[in-house]
Amino acid sequence: MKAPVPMHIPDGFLSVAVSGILWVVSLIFIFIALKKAGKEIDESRLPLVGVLAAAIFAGQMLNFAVAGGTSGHLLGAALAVLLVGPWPAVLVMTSVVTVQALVFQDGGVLTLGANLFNMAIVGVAVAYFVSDLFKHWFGDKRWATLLTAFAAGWFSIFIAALAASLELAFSGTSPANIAIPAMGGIHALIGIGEGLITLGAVSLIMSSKPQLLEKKAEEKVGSSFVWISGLVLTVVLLIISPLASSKPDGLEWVAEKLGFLIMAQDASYHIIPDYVLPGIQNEALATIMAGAVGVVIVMALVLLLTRRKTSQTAKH
Amino acid sequence: MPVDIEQRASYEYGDSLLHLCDARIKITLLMVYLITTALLPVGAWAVYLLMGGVLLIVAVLSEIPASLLLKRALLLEVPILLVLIPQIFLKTGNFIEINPWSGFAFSLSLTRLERVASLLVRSWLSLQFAVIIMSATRFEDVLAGLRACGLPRMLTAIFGLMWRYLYVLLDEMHNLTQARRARSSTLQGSFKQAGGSVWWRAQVTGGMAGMLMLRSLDRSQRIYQAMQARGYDGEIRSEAAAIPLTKAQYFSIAAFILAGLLMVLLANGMAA
Repeated sequence: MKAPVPMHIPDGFLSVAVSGILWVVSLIFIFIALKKAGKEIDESRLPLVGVLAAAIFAGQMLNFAVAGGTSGHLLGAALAVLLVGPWPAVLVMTSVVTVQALVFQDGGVLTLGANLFNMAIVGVAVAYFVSDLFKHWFGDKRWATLLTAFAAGWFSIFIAALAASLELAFSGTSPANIAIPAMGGIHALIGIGEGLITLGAVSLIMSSKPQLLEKKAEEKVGSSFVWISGLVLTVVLLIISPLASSKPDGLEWVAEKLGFLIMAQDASYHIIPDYVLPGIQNEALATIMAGAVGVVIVMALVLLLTRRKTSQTAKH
Repeated sequence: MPVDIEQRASYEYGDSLLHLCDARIKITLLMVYLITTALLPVGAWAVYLLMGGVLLIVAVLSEIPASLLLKRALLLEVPILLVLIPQIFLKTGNFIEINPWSGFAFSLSLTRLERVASLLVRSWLSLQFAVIIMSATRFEDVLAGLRACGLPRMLTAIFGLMWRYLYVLLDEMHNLTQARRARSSTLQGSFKQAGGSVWWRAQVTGGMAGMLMLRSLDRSQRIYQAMQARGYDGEIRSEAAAIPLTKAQYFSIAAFILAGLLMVLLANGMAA
């Protein structure tokens, strides 16, 4: 059994400024979710949120083998949205991510605000926005519902990963031209696993208890806020990410001006953003290429190690 | 490499000084340690060593075997490393050229190397410290402490419920996984996956996740009925939260904060 979806940022990887700002943003969102829940959810839904959080935590341990020792996992934000609607889903994912950080040290405590932002807010908002959009476009025929489930799963993972990589870049932990292609690339693949599991789960629920997937009456109230957040986050992150990864020094310059880069304040900080990669004239292209090559090398090493590990466990 | 979730299960029974300490004090100590570590500049190795000393003292106070504590902190996640490592080959700051054979050369940025190394050390210190504190504190006490520090009632209740049913649902998940394994086994030493294509495996796993959700929804219904029958009003009750902190406890919190500030000042003073 492996650890859940690898998107949890450990302590030490984010600057104090980035952690602090995202704590504030997350707390505001969770506070609204609690207010909504207090108003709309009667007490009978309280155990539902708690137990669903436990189920999603357990569900994150499920996996299926893909190839070469890698496997598909579930994060669960999209599934939570499809089952209980956006605001309760924020609370479900908040519980999952918080318990993971406090009890299992999966993700840091100081970076918990950022992890909550990525998984409980970006993940949920994007999944809600995408699923609502797809429902609007394709209706609720069987194939459309399944497509919606897949899309909600994939987008929630991919956009959340872009948010995480931008946070890492803003903290000066890793240059944007490495962080964004690496996190984005890996999670574009991980998102397929998420999408497929969400699709499978929805297909089972459709055939046994379809009424669970119907839009809830209480969901109407105040959900447009989540919808718009989802739209804004998706569009902004999709636009910023390629821009930032082609101009990593620009992002670091902005971060430095805003005082985000505490760890980069020591002198001798002159960025010459080119790697040694012979044969490519275009500087931006060479930078991205070299970043990609570095990522591939490290990934190959990691795959080799995990593969050896799985083959060893298979022998036992 | 990631460790099994059961092996990382939080609380390790004991009656050491750290175990007996009030949860609110431990939470404060953890937060001060984490914020201090995050504020330390790059390359302040002497102060890192001091922080390591603090960690060692707390580890000794916990009376939990070091091997267990170390094992629980082995949580390095692969994608995060992918994001971290490649930058040391950037031509940034103070770098050297390495030319192992003609026609091939790469640069190694010492500035970036120091940054990455500092980051990994601080990250490990934070993680290890959190592991020690949480291994010596029951989650129920953490919750009661957080409630006393102002965590909303509803969130406390949700966290508590999740914690209460976490292992129940992990058991459900184990049952589902075991059933799948019984029906689609793999030959020993073979890399060929049994039971169909990746698509098929994904659908089976999805079905399992769906089943898990359905069972959890059913269970939540029953739980609510049981809670109502017992007169639940949404508050968890704990003795720990009810006792006000003593003067000595307030002093120790102030001492932690002061010590943290000193560490940050010391590190910055040495860097300047």
